[in-house]
Amino acid sequence: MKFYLRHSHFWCKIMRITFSQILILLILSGVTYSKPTSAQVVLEKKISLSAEGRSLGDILKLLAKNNQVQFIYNKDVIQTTDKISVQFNDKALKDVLDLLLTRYNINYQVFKNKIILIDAEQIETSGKRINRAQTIPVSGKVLDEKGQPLIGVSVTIKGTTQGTVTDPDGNFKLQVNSATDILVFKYIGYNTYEAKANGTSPMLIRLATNSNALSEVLVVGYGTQRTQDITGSVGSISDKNIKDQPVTTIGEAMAAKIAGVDVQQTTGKPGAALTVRVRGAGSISAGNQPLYVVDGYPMNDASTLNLLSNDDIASIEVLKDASAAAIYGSRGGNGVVLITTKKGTDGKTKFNFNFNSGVSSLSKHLDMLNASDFVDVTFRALNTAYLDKGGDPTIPVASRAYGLTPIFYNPGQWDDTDWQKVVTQTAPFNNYQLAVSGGNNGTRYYVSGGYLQQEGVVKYTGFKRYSLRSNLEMSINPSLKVGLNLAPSFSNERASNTEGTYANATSEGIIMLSVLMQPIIGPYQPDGSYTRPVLTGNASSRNALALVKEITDYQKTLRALGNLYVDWAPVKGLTLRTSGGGDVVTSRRDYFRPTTVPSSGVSVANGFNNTAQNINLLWENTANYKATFAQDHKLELLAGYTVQWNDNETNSIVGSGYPNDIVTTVNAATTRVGTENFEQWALLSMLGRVNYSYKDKYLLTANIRRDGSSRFGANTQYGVFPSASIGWRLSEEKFLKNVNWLNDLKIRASYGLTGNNNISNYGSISLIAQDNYIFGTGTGTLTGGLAPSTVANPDLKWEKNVQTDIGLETSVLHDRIQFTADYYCRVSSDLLLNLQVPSIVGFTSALVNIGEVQNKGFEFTINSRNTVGAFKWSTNFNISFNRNKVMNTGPQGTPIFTGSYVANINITQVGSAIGSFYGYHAIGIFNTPAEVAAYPHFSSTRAGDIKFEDVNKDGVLDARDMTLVGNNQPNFTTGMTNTLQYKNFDLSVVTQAVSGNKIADAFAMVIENGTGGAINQKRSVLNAWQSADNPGDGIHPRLNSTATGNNNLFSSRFVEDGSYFRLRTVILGYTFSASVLQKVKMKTARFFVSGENLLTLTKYTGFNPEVGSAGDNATQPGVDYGAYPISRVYTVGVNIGF
Amino acid sequence: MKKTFIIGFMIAATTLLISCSKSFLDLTPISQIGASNFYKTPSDLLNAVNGAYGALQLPGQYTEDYYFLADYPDDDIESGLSASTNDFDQFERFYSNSANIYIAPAWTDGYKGILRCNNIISQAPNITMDATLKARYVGETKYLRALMYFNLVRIFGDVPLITTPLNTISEAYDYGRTPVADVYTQIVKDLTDAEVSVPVTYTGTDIGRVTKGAVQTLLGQVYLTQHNYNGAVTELSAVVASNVYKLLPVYADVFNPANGNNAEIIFAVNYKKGGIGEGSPFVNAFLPTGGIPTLVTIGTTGNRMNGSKDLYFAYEPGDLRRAISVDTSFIDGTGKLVKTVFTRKYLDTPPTDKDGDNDWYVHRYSDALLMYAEALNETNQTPLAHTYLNLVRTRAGLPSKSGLTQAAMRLALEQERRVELCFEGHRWFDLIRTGRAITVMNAYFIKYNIQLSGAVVQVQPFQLIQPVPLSQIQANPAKMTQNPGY
Repeated sequence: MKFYLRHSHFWCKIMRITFSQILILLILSGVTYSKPTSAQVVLEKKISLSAEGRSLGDILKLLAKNNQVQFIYNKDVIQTTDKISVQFNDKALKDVLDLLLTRYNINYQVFKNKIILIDAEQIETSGKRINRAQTIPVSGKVLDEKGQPLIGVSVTIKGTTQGTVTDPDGNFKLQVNSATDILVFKYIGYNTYEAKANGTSPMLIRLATNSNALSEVLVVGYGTQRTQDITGSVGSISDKNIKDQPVTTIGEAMAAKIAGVDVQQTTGKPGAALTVRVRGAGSISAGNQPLYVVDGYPMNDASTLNLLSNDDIASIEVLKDASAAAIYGSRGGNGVVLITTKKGTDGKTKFNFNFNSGVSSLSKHLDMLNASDFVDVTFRALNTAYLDKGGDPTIPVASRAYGLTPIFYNPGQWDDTDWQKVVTQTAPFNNYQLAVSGGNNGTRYYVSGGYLQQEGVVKYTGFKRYSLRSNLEMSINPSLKVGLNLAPSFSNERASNTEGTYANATSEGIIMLSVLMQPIIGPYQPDGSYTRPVLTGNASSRNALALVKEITDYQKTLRALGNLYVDWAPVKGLTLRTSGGGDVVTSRRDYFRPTTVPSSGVSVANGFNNTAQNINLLWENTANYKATFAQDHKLELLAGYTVQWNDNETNSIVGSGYPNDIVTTVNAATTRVGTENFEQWALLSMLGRVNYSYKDKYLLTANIRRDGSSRFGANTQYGVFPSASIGWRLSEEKFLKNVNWLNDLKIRASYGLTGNNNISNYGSISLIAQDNYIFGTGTGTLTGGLAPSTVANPDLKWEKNVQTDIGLETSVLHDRIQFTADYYCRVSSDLLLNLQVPSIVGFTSALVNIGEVQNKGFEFTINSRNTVGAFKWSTNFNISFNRNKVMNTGPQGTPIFTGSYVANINITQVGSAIGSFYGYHAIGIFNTPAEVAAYPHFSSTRAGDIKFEDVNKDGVLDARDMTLVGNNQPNFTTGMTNTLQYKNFDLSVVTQAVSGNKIADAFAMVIENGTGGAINQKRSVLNAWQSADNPGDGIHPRLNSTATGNNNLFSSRFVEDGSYFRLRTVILGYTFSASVLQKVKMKTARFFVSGENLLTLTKYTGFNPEVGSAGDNATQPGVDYGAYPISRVYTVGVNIGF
Repeated sequence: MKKTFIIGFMIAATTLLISCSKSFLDLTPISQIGASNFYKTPSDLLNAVNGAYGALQLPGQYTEDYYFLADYPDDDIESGLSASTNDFDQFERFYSNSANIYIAPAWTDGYKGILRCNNIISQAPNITMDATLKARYVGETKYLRALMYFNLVRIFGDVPLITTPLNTISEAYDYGRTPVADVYTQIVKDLTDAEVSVPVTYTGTDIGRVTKGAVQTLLGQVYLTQHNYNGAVTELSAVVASNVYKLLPVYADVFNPANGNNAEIIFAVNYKKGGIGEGSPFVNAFLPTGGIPTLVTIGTTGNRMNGSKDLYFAYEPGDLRRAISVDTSFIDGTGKLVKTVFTRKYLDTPPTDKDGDNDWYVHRYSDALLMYAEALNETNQTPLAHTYLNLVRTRAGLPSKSGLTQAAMRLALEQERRVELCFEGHRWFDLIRTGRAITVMNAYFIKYNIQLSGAVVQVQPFQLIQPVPLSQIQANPAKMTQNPGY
């Protein structure tokens, strides 16, 4: 119910700022009041009233209407959404009000026949009953930022309980003891203000709105909590930080916003999921993506989150430490991202229409050789190899048998093509969303429909999404509530094999191809067919344009996420909830490659059709009890039982031998091979939580969850995940309560255990897989065979994350500056490692729980409102320092080598960061044969080749000289959001900086292996070593088509600094004023323009320093191997409410 | 009423779920078999044996690594053409290192196959079934295990000898490398066991399984390798005497992919095209890059196993086998004449890339005849050796040889095996067996001035075996030692 407050924040704020007072008066006065009467008379007035299942607001309305009184209150005073039934016969208004309001901690003050409701905590006494030695009368008026009177503001004398509240005109009057007394003005949603009583009388006080109220309610697992009560580490983003950003994924919305949450946009592919890490990577092989929970529903697979529309999101909370995340037990180890969608609120129906449209384009263009330089480099490289092989130097270059095709000798035939431009485009996108929300008669609704259409920067790729959402909630009676959230969506993606290697038949990465295709040829031949690269070699039979244009590859995904819940509150404080839901994702992928696409030899058509269906069912039962004892003891208990079950079926039909390109579906293939895979998992959990606070000063939270999982070994099927945290709000202590500038100060500490269960469904079982064979004569007969495919491990279990967190939160200078600092130490142990085992067991690797990784670090967040007048400027700044260290990799301490594109360039070894780069250390270039002779070198090394360091100084250069040559861990990451507002204009600027991370440019390493003319080279190779007199840039060895001296082995020369500063988002908005809008019957209207990724300052020479070609694979961070470059995006948009 | 119903329902359902929670979590694989339910029935055992044959098709066994390690080092393969890809050039020009990406699969896939064999041999006693059939299954399996160990020991020297399945991963750390002689003892034992339990021939779709002749041929070759020439004579003479195998009249017919397991084939690794995951890559891998439109029209071509000029000129005039085995030029897709020596032995028309019908011949009858001649020659029966040498020569359209001395017969057999069996993974191991590898290869490198880093390549004695894969040393540094010189 407090949730109501949170998500309507934006709307409330508009009301307060613009016409809140007037509006409230209008709504509640209803009838004119005839004659002024005294307060006493009003309160003794006899009342008769009967109502059933109405909200408190509704009942007050009825009272006002029938009894010629008027209630005035700040909307935030009534926090309850309880449905109340009342029956009063001839009761004094005073009694009625006491009955109705005290249980909700609401106080009131009567001014004639106007009754002002006040949050009881804000004022403890009324000024009239106080005895004083001497009195000085003080009076004044309290106004909001717009100059409207604020009604019901509590005015107290500091250090006492004496005070009053402002009347319906915003005026107040009271007596102070001395002229040195300080008056404290408090009002919900506004900053507390203090002023000396000796000022000019009447005093004129202006209160500023408080955008970061401590009473803000955050969603935590299985419930909500007030910010001030939270003892764990929780980061949050509200809808106002999500809206208007032309983003399509949840990850993009979180980037640079929360300390300790590192979002890497490693790919610019439309609709692709981002790499999100909460407090570093703790797992080596079991995945590091956090658990995503949408409206309480833990998602099976984060990659389908892009099917949800960002416009529907009300808030995102990230549970960072063990205290917060332990309620998700074996899935909380990597942190938990809670996504809450919008809900309807009681009141008139609101329509909201969003439209934004824009273009995206390549944010960087790699500088490659043009045709003439390419030919020049090719000749230089072939010549080196020619001479190396003992070729006769007296033969003229033109007559040497290089095996080049004639085009190399005929500049007239060169096309000088920039292939990056050939395959990329400036791509448009459009996003529309209409939402309708409101509520009456106990039913609240939020329904929306959206359409997103986005083209990719790589031509012919794109993403379309149709999404619907219906969030309904019905109060059947005051104690029974039923809700239904339903979010069907459909997406259709035209994909292309954009990323990864170009080198084999199944993997023709367009991005790499577009960079390395020969610039001397164009995409088309004179007859309109596609060109084939000249020369030979595996890489060269591909035409990047043909691949993107001719291959059709559509993935259609249909998702239905739904959840039905019943809340029953049988007695005060106790809420029982049962909630059942399902998440069904089905997808089909249709691929066809026609014969028009060149390939080695004769092109043949092939295709496949994949279908997948994932059904995830969830049933949760929780009981929540909330009570306050003896005023100072607040207790909240939660207990629950949940069941989740998942069923995944995939089918694939691969077709070959198509007679032509006309029918592209698999039925046309002459040979079809089908496969099916069917897997399940199940999770059975019990959970509990205790929240206790004493005087809002001493806070305690304890969580426990017991998870049983089908994935784990027979010996280890259940795991228990406890956590506890404590908080101390020092600012509530007497010794700090009078410190003027300090609004809040809390220290907190937590400790707990969470898990990570991301392993394969049958990882603990030894599986027998098909391995067929051929017997018989002639062409033979297929005969079935079976063989073990995995090794059993009945002890296989979840990974453990033990995390300690110590935090400090403070708010100073009238909440102008809020500061949060956290220190954490997260030790992930029992890591699931696909350990490289001695292959004599019959397997190269086995899944075992052995590794240990430690992440520790500091996080700091500062939210400040720098100016609050007509010109408003606020800053959100966060910075995180994380240190990742591998503590254990198994019984032998054996390093784990990884590298899916280029063998073993990453090492995960004890004492260094996960996936550090491992290779030779290049220390220069041998300039002369004498230099070669004088230093250890490879047997094929000659002058002009790379000088690698003899690290172990044994006089021999061999594998023992390989060493750590950097890692992708940054020294720090930081994000800053500046928001400026002046009159109707607002400007938001998000910047991001990362420092100290290194990148392995495997891409450069691979292409430099191909200097023989088959593939293009980076322009920097022009600075290669040529001779002792012309040694080049000292980085690039001599050009050689038959590379010698292991020049292109992975070494430090392919490791670059990946530090960057990025201007991530700039949004400039204009909000039309209410007076203008009334004429066109609109409530709100905002127009904005924005830009994404406008500027990146980095020394990195590849496409994108936020690189990670291996995606979520923690052991291969920062390897650049042809990832889809990120886009620069310009957007215009409009948001209309009516 | 409503409330009572709801609360009652919740309690009942929760109780129900908790009570059946154990089975709720015990999910077993649906699309696969769990090992605990396997090796129970005669049909399981047959499937497992077929799966052990399937191991021969692993990349690290005959599908890829075997030709790299058995043919690349010899003088039949031309150095230089493939030089830009270091990993297989390393074998041609003798600078391989433990990180070479083709070395590790030879080791790991070898042991993957050995595990399959060990499982069968250890589980078979627990299965109730026809004793003769069970013995045959175990016999077939022991041949396969012996073949896999024979390849490992020839490639790497000392290798860990594992003859029962390891129950836990940690056991694997206890094993170091077993001396070559002990591995051979086990190979001989397995083959001796197999010899008495497998049949002389099969019928129908069982053709292609391990026969007595296959066991004897392999055992003969093992004995030759061990220089146990009397043993070799015994085994190989039995193969000849069995009258099961014969030389096909036309050499080309032996390599026709539609003629699998023909009368000349003693044991082959069988492949079948058609998108069923059983095709062989040889046709695509071996043809020159860019493809030869008249020979292969589908898929990419790999430029591997290019023949050497030396091999081309090794054929005597009139040898019918040369045109079948090697070619020196082709017309490429653009109509250009390309001059290069390449192998023609593995031709087919695969429906998709690397999906051919070509089998890999482990042993064929001419191989057995020449090994028999070798064994006879070494046991001072040189005159009789002429008979078997000339059988092979006659089929090739060459005149018979006569009156050779023992030493001349050695060279004649070396030559005959080279041209008869080129590109079939024999010559390098033949040269090592006869002790001629260093002499022959170093002369070859000098003759053709084949260089590495400006110096003519010369083979060192340590290079007769390959380095132990780096991954294996990294996995168990305490026990796994590297071969000297690497």
